[in-house]
Amino acid sequence: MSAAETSGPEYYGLMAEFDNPDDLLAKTKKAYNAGYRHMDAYAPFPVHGLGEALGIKRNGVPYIVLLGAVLGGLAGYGLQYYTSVLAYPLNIGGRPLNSWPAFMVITFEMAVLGAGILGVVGMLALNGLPKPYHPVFRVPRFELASRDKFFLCIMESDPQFDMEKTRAFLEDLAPQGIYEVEQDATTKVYD
Amino acid sequence: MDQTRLVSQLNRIQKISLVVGIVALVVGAGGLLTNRAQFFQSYLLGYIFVLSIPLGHLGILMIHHLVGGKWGFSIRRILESGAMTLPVMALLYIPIIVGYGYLYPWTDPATVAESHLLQYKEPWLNVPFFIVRTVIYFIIWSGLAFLLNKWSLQQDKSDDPTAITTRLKNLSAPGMILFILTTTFAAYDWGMSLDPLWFSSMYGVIFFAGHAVAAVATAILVANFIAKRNQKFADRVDIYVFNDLSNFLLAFVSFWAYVSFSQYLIIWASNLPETITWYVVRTQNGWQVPATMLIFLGFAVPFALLLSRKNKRNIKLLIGLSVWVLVMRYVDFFWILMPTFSPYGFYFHWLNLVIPVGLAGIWLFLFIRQLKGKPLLAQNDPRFHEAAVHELKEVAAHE
Repeated sequence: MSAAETSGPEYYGLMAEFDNPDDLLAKTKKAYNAGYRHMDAYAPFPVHGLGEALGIKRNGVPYIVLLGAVLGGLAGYGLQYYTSVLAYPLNIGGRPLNSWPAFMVITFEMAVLGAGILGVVGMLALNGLPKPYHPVFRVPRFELASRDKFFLCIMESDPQFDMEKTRAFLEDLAPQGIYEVEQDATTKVYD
Repeated sequence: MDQTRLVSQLNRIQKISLVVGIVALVVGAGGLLTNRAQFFQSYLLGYIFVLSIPLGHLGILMIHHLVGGKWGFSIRRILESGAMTLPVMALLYIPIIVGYGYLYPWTDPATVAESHLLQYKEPWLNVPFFIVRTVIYFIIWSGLAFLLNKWSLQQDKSDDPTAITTRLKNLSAPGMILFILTTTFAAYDWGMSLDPLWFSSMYGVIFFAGHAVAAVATAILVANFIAKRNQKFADRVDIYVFNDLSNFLLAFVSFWAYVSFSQYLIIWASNLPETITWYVVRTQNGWQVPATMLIFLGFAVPFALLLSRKNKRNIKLLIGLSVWVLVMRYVDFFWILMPTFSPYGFYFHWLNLVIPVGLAGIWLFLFIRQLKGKPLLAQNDPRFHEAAVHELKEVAAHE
């Protein structure tokens, strides 16, 4: 179905607004139990258990971060080993050339740096950000998702999605508001 | 009902721990006849190791009052019970006073007369002032524990619980400062002055980092024990709380390793005779075995295991790890304190095991006695039900 064939607008999904995180969490669980899978929830701060309630599977970021930490640590130790043992072997206060206690600080810092960089890069690579525009921005009240409101959006792409039935389902969840999220041609192309 | 099952099992453990405690201490007291110095050395080790747990409870309880959060409400009564054992634990310090002469070289006038530095330190290191300081530490710890317990229990029945939350917060802020100062100075007095010429400003931090590890590990063990036997508690203390607690365990184990290594790095790098000797003694002639254990088994293994979220939510693993970390607390204190008495080679006496077990038994008895006397959850705290909503209000208030 495309916008050209129908008279009305195309929809990205249906969005419900909630007042507090417990409500959002409980209602998200209900939606999941009702069989909805293509959905997303929005909150101003991390809500414990929301990821599990949405059925989000674990992703690869932790392993990428671990890889970054190991590579960073090895690079840090390697650089110091190379400079102090191979390239410029100097006797400093009679200490061994490979003075691991002294090398630990930079090794640790480099591990943190590697983990941080690969964490950000890996996260961006896996989640498709930065994304300057998204259909949910068309809902005027959605800006409250970064203040004090909580939103659950069931996407049109969900096999179980039906404008009437899904709206009725969301109404049963007693939200503070239900909004139709319109799809537009430009985003449709990239989705 | 499961409530009675919990109480009867707690009663049984309480009885067993009292019997084990008394028997072990009586057997240990036998050592008093054969090897008096060893008795007091082992007693000091056992006492510092066991006291580490309630001290950690007191510190984490005050952090909870200051920052809130669901994890804190879940284990608050456990922490309060632990902290409340401190007044009685103070009495168990008395045998150490009797044994000062076997422990602290600066109590011996002949040693002081030979050392100009010890004469210089005499205004601080003398027995009367040492006892006065110890009494002050216990008064501060007991006073904080007593007030935090009293107000928290009042809050359960209060019509105006918000006022009590504020009062608990207002005490905890200066309380935390006092706590850090007193635990640091207690570590300097009880532990560092065993080598009266040696000094390290990191020493106290290593101690209270260890207290925090011990407190989180015991809180995990007790919370799991109760959650398995009490459904209402289990509903509240869910897997996310255990996830939070294992995050704390990871953080505090890392912190302890970080400060322990910092002390080593600074002393190793400066390589000065007056400080490096401490590590020279502790890294050879057998003492390097507990040192290596601490690096790999005390830090690396818990650290690597706790990185994964799957492991943090694996209760069985978490229980094993908590017990393991507590064993490592003992190894850490053993390695810090005992080489002083046997600098030329590793030495382990059976009293080093029997007396800590005895003191731990007595402590567990006192702890369960406290725990049984309270409701298991601090339900009337206004922050309890709305831990998450509370955070939201603070987020909104900042904008």
